[in-house]
Amino acid sequence: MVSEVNLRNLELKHILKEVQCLSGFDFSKYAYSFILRRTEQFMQINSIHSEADFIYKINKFTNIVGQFLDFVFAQQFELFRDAEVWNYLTNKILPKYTNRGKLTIHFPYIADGNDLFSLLFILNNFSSEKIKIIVTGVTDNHISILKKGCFTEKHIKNSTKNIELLSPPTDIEGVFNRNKDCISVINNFKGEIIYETCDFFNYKYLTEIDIVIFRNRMLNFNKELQEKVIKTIINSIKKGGYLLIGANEKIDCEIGKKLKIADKNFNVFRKKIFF
Amino acid sequence: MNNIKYIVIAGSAGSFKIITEIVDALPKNFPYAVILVLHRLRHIKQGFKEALSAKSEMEISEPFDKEKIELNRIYIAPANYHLFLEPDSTFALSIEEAVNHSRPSIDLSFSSAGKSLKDKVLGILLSGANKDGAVGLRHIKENGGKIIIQNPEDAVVRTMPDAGIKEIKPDKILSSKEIINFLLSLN
Repeated sequence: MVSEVNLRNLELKHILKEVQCLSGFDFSKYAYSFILRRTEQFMQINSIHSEADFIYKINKFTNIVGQFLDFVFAQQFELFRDAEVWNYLTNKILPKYTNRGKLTIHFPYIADGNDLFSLLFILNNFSSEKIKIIVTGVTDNHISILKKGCFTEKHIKNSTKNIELLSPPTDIEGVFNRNKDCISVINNFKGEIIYETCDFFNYKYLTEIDIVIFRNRMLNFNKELQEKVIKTIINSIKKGGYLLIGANEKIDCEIGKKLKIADKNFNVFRKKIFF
Repeated sequence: MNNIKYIVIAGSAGSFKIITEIVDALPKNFPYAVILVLHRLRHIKQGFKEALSAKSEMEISEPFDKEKIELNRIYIAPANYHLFLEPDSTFALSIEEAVNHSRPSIDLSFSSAGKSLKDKVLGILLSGANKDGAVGLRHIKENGGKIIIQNPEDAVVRTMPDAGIKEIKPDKILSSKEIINFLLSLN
């Protein structure tokens, strides 16, 4: 049985400071419960029993810091989460761009391929030659995992109900391709995918994005970082472009005035033409 | 119970009846934040809040991420998210894996409430068909909060209360009627 780990605030701070020293990754603006829980979970799984033990091991075994960063952010194990949002994208948003030439879609700050490959699958319904997708990952390692596009039986199990709700309808066999090395998502994407690492503390300013898919990524941040990030993202969107966030995420800072609600139920926003 | 500000009530199978009775009984001026963490169907997002709101005098809502927890309100953990309570008295949501096959997980909500808000928390565990919540109750207790477990004899499904009692000695074991009377006595 895995023994339970319970960190005190100060112990967590010491661990994260040490991680920052070794990796440069700053967790000070992340949501407390999120980072506490993921750190405790990582320690439990890896039989690390205390703050001292953690600090000793990350200094002795350098790969542990990388494993920790991979673990902390890789959370989602389902494709097409909130199927109705993917249906909205398929049936309401993407058709508007079919005759417009180039379309640029941005996935900021992702650590797993669930939303990216959900999109690649629904793009099977569209001509994709002129579509550019910019994927900014949390770390380089997340990007190399993303590029492989491999999923697990757990993903299939967790995604089954979502797939049943997709419109136009499909079935599991129509979504996943199994071979001996990898379960992949069937896609015929012919456009361009650009992968890069993103650090919101030193963020490269993107512009002229048509659609930003940024669902449930802000949950990891504290309020201060959320406001900084969302400002950057809203500024990157073209006038009339779309922003998709998670169902229970909210934009309640000044910059939000640049947006109007496209669909209240699905938390889809459009950037105003005039503001 | 003097320091209590946040009452986290959790349950699963068989708990909906008592939850509605509690919500209906609480007066408009009930001076606590009541947080309901119930196992729900992941794909059904609407209708639950409306059903609970039908007879309630208190305002009921599903919190957004980083929303401030206000007293004198009832909150329901949103479907398909884990709900955490943060040290600065805000909610935080998470989409990480289900715990005890559940999202929201009662253990995660109870544990974060205990660790973040210490002796200001009262945790109440109701009827349910799995062991979710037991470990979280212990975290509330270990951090100075108080805990009440529904009497297993009174619960529609006793697995959850039994697991809670096995994990940690509660401050009170009460029937559904006694839980309601106790909450009203806090007012």
